[in-house]
Amino acid sequence: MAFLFKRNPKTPFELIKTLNDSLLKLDYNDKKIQDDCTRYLKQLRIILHGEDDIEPQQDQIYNISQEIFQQDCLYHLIINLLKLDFDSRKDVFIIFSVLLRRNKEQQNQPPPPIVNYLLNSQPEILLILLRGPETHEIGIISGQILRECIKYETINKFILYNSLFWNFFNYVQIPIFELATDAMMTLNDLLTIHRKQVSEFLNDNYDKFVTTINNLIDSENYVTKRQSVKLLNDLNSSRANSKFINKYYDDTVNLKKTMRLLSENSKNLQLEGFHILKFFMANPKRSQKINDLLIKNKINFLIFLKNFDVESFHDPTLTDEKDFVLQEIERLPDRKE
Amino acid sequence: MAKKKLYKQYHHNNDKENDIDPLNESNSSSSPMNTSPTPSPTYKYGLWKCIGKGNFGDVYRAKDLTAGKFVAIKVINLDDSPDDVKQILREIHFLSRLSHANVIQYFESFTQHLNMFIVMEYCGGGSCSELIKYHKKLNEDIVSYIIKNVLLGLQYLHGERKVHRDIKAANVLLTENGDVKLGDFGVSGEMTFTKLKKNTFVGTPFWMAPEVIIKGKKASNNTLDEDDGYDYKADIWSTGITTIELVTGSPPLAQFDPLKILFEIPKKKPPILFGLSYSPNLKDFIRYCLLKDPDKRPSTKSLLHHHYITKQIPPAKAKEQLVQLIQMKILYNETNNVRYKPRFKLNSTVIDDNDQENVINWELTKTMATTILTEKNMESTTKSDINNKSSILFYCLERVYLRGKDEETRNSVEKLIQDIYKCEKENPGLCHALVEEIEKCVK
Repeated sequence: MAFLFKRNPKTPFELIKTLNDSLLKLDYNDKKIQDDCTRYLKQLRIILHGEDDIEPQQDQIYNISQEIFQQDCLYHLIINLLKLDFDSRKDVFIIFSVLLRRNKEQQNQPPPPIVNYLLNSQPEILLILLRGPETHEIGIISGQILRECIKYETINKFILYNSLFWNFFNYVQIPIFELATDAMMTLNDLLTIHRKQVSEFLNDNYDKFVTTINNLIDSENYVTKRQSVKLLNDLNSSRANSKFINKYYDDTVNLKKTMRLLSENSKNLQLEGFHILKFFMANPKRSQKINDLLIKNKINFLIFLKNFDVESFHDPTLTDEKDFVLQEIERLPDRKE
Repeated sequence: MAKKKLYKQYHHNNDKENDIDPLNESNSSSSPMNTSPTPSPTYKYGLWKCIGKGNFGDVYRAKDLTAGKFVAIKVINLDDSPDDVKQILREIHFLSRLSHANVIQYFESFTQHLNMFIVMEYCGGGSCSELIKYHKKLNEDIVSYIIKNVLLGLQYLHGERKVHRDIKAANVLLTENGDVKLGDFGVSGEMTFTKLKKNTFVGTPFWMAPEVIIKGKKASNNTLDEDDGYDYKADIWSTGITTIELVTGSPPLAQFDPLKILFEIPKKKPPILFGLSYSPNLKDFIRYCLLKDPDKRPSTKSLLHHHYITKQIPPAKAKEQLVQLIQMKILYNETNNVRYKPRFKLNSTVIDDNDQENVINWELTKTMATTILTEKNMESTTKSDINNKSSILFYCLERVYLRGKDEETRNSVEKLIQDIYKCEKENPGLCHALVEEIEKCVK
């Protein structure tokens, strides 16, 4: 009595259409529609991604992805992400990553069609994903999808120059640990994957960026603090960012921040502070105002360096660097009373 | 300074108390930005008791005072870890995305000062390794039941592209009802390998698959679930070894020095189980798990169809027997007062003495100095307008609990805390009043 059972949609067009229809009807209380969505999504995921011993077929992937774009399926999935169950959300992530990873193996291939789709046809999807951390249940999955998207330079640029980008500096301070740290991962990726683009961005936004990241470093939360200094140090050691770096090491506010890091009672924070100090000392074009502040605190720096236990990090270059910094500090003139 | 931080902490707690647990929060539209910066302070959990030592921190049993249930909390000092915090965080994210009956449920994490607290499901029955320590060995029916559940858990993990990498009796946990759960993967597993790389040997290689030992380097580099290439067949080998461990009481080669035996494992023939006391099904099952060639080794899916797993006494019956064994062990532990001493002192780390801070008197410009000063003043104002003093009381009671010189003393303090907690729930404000009165007397 086959008519008692719903038949599975056969063609790609049918599958996407039925999935979209179910998504439209999706309701927290309607278990049946929930199950339908779960089933169709799973079917879609298997076509794109395969399962156990079933390998996905390239021509099938091609056909179904055409339908996905034509019927705006990704948009419907994203606006209904919250209503989908735990496992279906993971399927949505897999669907996105398969579409994003197409053409990736071969070199010199144009980006897959999804990139153009996200940027030009439905930019709303990216904007919704950017707001992901505001909703607990879907924050992490949105972050995962977003990090897949920003592997493409054009998408990364779109996000960096969107005002929603700056929200991430708030998201990383969300009291829910997983969300905050996930947002930090996204922030980190946004600023470190496409170095050249980021260097332009940092030039354009020096003041805003430094103020914002300095605020994060002042956070009371150890993890936020440590990760944000780490990010800053990462940016400061990338050659591409030379303009940004020159400005940064000529700012007394930043030197003060560094001094406060050196007085932290966490040795890892001290270490990050030391890495910043090292560049202040190594700067050949050190300005007078920086020098004044260094001279003023010469004795304090010497106290710090005396107590700073580099041995515990088991890193020989660090020992050399400490010797260098010590030498530079000692060469400073003594403070005039 | 320490005091100030503490008060601040409690101040946040007050905000939090009226909030719904962030993880069970059903109303998703409420903005998480409005809540306090410390989501789940240690104060939410009380009655800490060390139940195990990890290489990177201790595991505690604690009571979730808001839900009234026990949880297991792993405490890791983040500043001690030589690795980037990122790695630990990645694992925690992964844990938070898992949900399966045979995998320890992750609840939440929070940090306080340099410590990271990972809150997970508590398994009152302890690990299978504790069980065989007490019962010497387990019968085949029970082992079949346990291993079936291990395979189900692994099937789920492998489906999520996660390799457990540390399957052994000590990581197979039991609830008091006889449910079987895989535990201690991810965070500890990841770090175990990292340490290995750095020549401080932790863990034992008896359970390691030959290919893991040979390609040891590869295993240590795998950090992400996104890594497609990693071979999950290593878990199948370890499951085979664990099966031997459960029916005989120890893994093969356990009599040798683990460091010396490490590189023998890939050269030796796979261990087999012999003797008339074991059924042919069991022997066959183990032979399949321990096929040296990972490509020939079956997956969880096909092992779940093996006769050793399918043709045993009904699971309900095996479970019943298991519960009896668990209860015998619990009773023994209680009467013999088996206790673990934490490696790191928790009370000193939870509420960290921050007197060390700012020992260097940096000479700052005037503006900078004033901002720091005003910040400090602000801290002292928050101190004075604490409106819920009950948290202080519970904190003090917990300190008293920790001071208890023996189990009995501690138990009575524990009871006292529970009673007071109950009273407070029935008469909100009681503890607040009590502390206020004490303050008056002290003044």
